[in-house]
Amino acid sequence: MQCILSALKAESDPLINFFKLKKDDSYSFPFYKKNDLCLIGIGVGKNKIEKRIFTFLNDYNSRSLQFINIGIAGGKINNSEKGEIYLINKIKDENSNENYFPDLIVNSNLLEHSTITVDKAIVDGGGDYNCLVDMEASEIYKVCLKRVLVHQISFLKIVSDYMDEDVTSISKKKINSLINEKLPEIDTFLKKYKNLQEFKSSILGNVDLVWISRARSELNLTETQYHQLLSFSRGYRLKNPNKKFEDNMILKVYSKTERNKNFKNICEILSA
Amino acid sequence: MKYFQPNFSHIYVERGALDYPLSQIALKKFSKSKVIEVDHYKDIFNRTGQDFQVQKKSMKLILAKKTEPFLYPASEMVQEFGTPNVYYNTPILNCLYNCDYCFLQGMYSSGNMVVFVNESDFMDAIKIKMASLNLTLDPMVVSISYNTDIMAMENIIPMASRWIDFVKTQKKLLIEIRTKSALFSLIKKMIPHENVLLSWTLSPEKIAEEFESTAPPFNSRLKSAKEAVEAGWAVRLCFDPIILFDGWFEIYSQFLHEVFREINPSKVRDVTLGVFRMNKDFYKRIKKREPTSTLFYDNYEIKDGVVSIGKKERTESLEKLEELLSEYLPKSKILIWK
Repeated sequence: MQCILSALKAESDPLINFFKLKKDDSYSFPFYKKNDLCLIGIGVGKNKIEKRIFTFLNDYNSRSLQFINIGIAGGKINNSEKGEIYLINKIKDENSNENYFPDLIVNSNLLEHSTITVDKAIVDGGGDYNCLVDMEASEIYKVCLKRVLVHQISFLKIVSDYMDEDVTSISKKKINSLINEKLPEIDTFLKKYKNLQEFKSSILGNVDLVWISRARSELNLTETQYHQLLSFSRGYRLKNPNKKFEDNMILKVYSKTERNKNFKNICEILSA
Repeated sequence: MKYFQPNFSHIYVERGALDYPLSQIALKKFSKSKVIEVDHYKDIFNRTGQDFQVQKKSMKLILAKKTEPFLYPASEMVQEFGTPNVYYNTPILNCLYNCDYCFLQGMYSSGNMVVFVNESDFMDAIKIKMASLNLTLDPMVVSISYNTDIMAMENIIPMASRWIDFVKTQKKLLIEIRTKSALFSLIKKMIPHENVLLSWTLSPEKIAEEFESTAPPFNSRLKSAKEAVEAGWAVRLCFDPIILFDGWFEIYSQFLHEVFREINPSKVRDVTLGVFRMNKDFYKRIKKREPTSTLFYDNYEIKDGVVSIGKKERTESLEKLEELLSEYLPKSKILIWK
């Protein structure tokens, strides 16, 4: 699943419309979903990010989950262009001075920039800031990294102003238009980014896991035996992509001795 | 459609590393790469939450300045060449290749590569160490390609040739450059030096295809090793790791026959033999990530912190191979990790 994180309703609306996402009212915050794509409204600034993402993760936790922060940012007139979309390659948190580096694996063809995450909007032209300025990226990175890997978090920022406007004062219409203009690039990025998910697919399929679970419960395997079985099963599946785990390998056992004998036998078959 | 960025699409440079000649060479070579400044290489290389194998799909280059230590005593898992003064250093962390059995995937959390550009600090450390050792009988041996394949990087950053030049200035220093590369041509014009040991890891084609798919194929490596031998370099052939599978002995017999049909065994300095083995912590770390190589799902035993094939099977297999190899070389030239 891919999960878009956006701060403002004006940023979310074009994305919701384009991807035809449907509102899910079971959450106390803006949450939209369709098939394998969803969107969480995380609000402006850092405050609500952790709670909303973790609430979402209670229901949708998977190994291949990807978070994509999409939103507007302030830019600098000499190194960015209003309306342009940038893939973020470095995030600095102004408060802590910590730097964060998203992985850049996917061949996106997007321009890149670094961003600094600030607590208050910069409206004085940006002074010494030589990168983009946003209000959420560092917190999103930190929060998401508690649950997913670095390559599962990406940041796309569209320059809305040259640090001369408060984000809350930029008109909804202008923000809608900025996002709308870049929907084709966003769509392409999401599609390419999705390809990374296949690297986290499990060696064992659902049918395999059902068989392992049956072996575990019927043989009353110890925790160590269960982990050994998982390991041998993975090896078996890699060596025999199309073979079934035979049901008749699991015997009816009446003692620990019989259990251990059957377990040993299964391991030998799987590792042959 | 090309889904991934090419290798070294991004170069992360430590602020203090930018002006070194090796940095300039790398940045010139990858002039189209995006350069990102970092305070310290560990900010990028040691990040939490990295996936080694995903990063291997698009490796990034990190240019940094190493601080002490510049030299480490050799691991017990390396054949020690019968000398007590064996060390290794780490001018590069990680490898251009990604062999299934490689311990680096358990040693490092990152699949990216770090090149330490302050090469003179590494060389000075060796000089200082040499001054403290009794080298009247044996030379000091330094493996410079232990955590990497330095020769494989030669067309990117010419470190191997620079180290060879350094060795020429030191009488009691022997360096080993272990490689799977096919880039001997890049140092072919250099005059061979007896204190430079070029070691090629060779595996049967079947093994190379299955477990070393990102390294050059067997034939290319063999060709490079052959050229080095014929040019007069001291060459070691490493048949390590030996992978045991149904029919392994026939495959390895045929393989050794092919190797020594091309390379005159009397001109080889020595050969090494060893089965798959790994530090248990590295092994456990790799297994946790659910690797997709069948190698990690075989039956191994753990002894003295090392994961490997059981002693009996290991000894029997290696003795069989030693016998076979002794048809080509005297046993004194066969170094075995048992």
